[in-house]
Amino acid sequence: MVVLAGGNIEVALSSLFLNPITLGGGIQQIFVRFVLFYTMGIGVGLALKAGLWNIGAQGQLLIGMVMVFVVYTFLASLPWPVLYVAMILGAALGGLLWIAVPTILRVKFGANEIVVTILLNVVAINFAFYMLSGPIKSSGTALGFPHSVELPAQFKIPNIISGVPITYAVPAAIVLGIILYLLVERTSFRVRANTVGESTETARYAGISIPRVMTITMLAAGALAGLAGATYLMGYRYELDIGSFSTNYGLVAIICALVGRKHMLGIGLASFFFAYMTIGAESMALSANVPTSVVFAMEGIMMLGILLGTYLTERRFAA
Amino acid sequence: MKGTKRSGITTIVGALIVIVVILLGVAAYSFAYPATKTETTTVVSTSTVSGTGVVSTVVSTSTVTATSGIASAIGALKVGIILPLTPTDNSWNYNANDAITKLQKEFGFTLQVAEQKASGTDADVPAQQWASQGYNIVIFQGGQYQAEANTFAGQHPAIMSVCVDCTVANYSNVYRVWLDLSGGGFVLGAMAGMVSNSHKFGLVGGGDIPSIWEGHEGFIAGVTYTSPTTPTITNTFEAFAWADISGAQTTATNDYTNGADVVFSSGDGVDVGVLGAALAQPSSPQVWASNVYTNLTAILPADNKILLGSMVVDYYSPFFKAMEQFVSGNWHWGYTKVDMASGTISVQPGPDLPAAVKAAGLALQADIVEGAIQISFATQATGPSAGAPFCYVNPSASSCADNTLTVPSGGGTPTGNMAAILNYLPQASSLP
Amino acid sequence: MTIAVGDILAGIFSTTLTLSPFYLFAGMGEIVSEQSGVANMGLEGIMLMSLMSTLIVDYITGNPWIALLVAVGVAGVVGAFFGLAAIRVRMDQIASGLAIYLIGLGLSFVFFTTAYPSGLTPNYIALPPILENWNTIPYLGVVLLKQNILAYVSIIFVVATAFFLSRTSLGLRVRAVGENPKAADNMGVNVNKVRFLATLFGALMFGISGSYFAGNFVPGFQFDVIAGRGFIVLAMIYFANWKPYRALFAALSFNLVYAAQNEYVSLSGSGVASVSTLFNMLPYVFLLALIPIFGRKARVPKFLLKPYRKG
Repeated sequence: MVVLAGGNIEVALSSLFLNPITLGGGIQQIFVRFVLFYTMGIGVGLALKAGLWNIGAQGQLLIGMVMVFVVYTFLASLPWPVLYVAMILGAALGGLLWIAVPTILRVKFGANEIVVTILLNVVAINFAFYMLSGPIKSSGTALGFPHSVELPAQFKIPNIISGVPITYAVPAAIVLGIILYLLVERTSFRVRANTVGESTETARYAGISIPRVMTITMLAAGALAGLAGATYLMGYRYELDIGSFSTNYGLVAIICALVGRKHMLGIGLASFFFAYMTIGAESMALSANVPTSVVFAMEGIMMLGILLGTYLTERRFAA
Repeated sequence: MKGTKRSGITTIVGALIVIVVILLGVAAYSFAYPATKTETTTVVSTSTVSGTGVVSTVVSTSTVTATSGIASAIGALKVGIILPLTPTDNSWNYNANDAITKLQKEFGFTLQVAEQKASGTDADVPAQQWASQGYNIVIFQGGQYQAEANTFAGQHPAIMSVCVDCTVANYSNVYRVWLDLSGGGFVLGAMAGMVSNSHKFGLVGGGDIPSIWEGHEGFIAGVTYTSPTTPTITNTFEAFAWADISGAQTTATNDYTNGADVVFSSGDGVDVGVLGAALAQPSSPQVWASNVYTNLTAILPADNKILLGSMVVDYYSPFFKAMEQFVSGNWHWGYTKVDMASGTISVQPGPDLPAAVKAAGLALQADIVEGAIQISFATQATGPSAGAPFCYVNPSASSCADNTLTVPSGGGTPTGNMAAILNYLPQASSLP
Repeated sequence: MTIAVGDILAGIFSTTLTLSPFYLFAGMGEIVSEQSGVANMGLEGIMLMSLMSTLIVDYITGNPWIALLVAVGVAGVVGAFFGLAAIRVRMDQIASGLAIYLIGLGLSFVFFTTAYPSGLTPNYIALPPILENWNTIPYLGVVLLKQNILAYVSIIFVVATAFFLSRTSLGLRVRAVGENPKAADNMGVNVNKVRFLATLFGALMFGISGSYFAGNFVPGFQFDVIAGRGFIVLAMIYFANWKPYRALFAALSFNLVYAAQNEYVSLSGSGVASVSTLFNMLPYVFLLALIPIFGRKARVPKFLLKPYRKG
């Protein structure tokens, strides 16, 4: 019995920690998820600095993904480089438009953005289904299971080194993070955003335009989430199908932002950590014959653990 | 303001705490529930072959013959199966999982189950993992994996890509398990037509895909075959919601409230919802519901009065056949058909049906098994539209309008009339 | 296709009354919790744990009432855990709520499959309807009598919660703690204790919700079966301005729109799946459209989401 249990722990742990690197496709998966979590996470973190919660990251991600193929289908007459860029921008635009409604409702009506973005997440799934089975559906598909056309090679984000499955999306995301970091931490925007996040009265007294700060941060967050959709589709998936809709990447991105304490580097570390661990957990679920849903529980436990850890350490430093 | 260094420290401390928690959690879990290791049982069944599944209230239990050579070869295999949802759905996933784990217990091969892979790209992750671990057979349980199964087959020619409910094979190592629910639908429809009082029928399906579609068509054909008056039929395909039990239950309840007294269901979790709706109806007027794939003992009380009948699908035989062909070496361009004529699909009438209806249904089933009746979707035999495609669900759809079928030489997707595609049974000799 | 209008309407109303109690129980729980200043975003995790417990205990004992009790107990435990994180340790409420959601999502399914690894489950015995032969009464039967007793208990809870929050001293303390904890503290109210009790009450309500959900479908405990409905509750009480009667209206109207579009889609019976997704959006768009009407006057409890440190 002990040997049996011992054997199981070994299998479980080795698959949790080692499989992502050793097994086929693992490295690619890690970086794909890293880009996804990080791109969305820095957006969420940015909005958080202004005290706004973008719970709608998942919905914006979906709309971004849909927009990639909308642009691809309807603007197909554009020359290749232009279309390529248009697809990426279209995705960001999609995310931005999708967050525009909560932003307007928040800025103009004071409606809580958490609630509106939650509702829009559900609407986004339905809308994405509709688009997938209609306007962007590919004809001659697996009968009845709708999915889009597959992107031809020139529309895929290329690998940095051929043969190594890490695409240009990775450094692009890191660069974005650095840009945002510089923008937010080093310019006066930092003061403005943080003040709005801390107290609206202080901000108003200081003459900071609250609506402007809110709008900019929220729209940026939405655009980033949509952009993440473009990197996911053009860098890994190459086609849109219903499997993309049943993910919880938006939620994990929010967790990364929280765990990374709104700091761009922290979010980066958290994104990588969660990317690695979720893939390890899925692999562990497979090898140890544990249901895959354990991954979710582990995400939650990880999150609680890290937050608890940061909180305890903080108390020690603060006291 | 927290500096970068501090946030780094706190993150590391936090991560360490997390890792400790995870270790403890996994340790506790594995102590409590050790994973099933592969058993090293030697060969069992020496009973004779019986091809027709023996149906009870659970999934059919077939027995197969395996000579000791083949049995030990099967025992050495490494098999992975990919499920779209989880085995607890009491239907599609449960059936497949039940069949493959039964086989695993019997023959002792290595088995891993990847669940909740919603689409082909998600399925690729465990499939690639298995490929790098030397697996022999990967079972893609669902038509949504068709493209992925073919891509994967192209990348790993030595691995058998079993594709269940798929119609396309682009490579010789794609092994299709071809699902045809029309016979079962027809028998259920015929019984429904006989037993209904209101002559209103509802159908609830999980999605507009071939196997579900043909089940619906078969049911409608059966109803039309036996109903004394023109039936009123409501056909609903839930939007990709094979597992939307709650939505299916609401739709079925709507159907009953609108006067239907038989509801046919054909897809996965949808069945569970429909049966639930039927159970919730009062005992009079009498209503009926049917189901496919469903694990009945979990869903229906033994004394229920609403079961029209169940279509029972046997995956045990086709999975075994695939493995057997694999180890004996002649499996390329292989396929196996799961349908009524081959005995892998059978209809079990509900216990409360009038005896005459039961007998008639079983007689029709026997006819189909013997080949006396053939369900085909090509054309209507009689009536004012003789010669036109027999397409109830969406008569104006292009897939019904024409009756052509083009099969590209050299393999590939057949194109044309969906009905004709479904009738198409690939002959091994006609493909390279 | 001739179906009587009366039947159609009866069907719609019946569905509305069947689905609403789920939102009402959770809504009342979250209202009380948020009035005291604690927003529990982990409600769906608690519901799933409660649902899982209901099914398992029902399978073992065959008694849905015992299952309900055990499920509510489990929900209380999970809720206490959340309370500990959010109130005592003073971690960010939304973060700890989301963590609880994920943990509940994963663990509920893991426990269920561990109990029934093959997926083979025995028969689920549901709470009985109010009247066994509800069909004998035309129209009203299917609308009012098909539900089980919990449906009407939920309405009682709405009334009780409204009364509690506005008339009882404990209820006033709950609201004070959410509006102005400093003042309440000065008056001798133990702020965190009141908050904890309010959160616990919320969790117990979520437990009833989760258990009630079991009656809405025949079990085959799919992963993430509640599918986001818990989060919709958050939206509902927001638009209801944290008033129980308004929440009743929100829940009923939301489910009415849902039932109506569902009926329409099945009646139009074209079998075209994609269009139904557009209709599925209607209930949510409806809630969103309520914002300009109700959202303007939203009076958020002032200290919602803010932890309280004594002294």
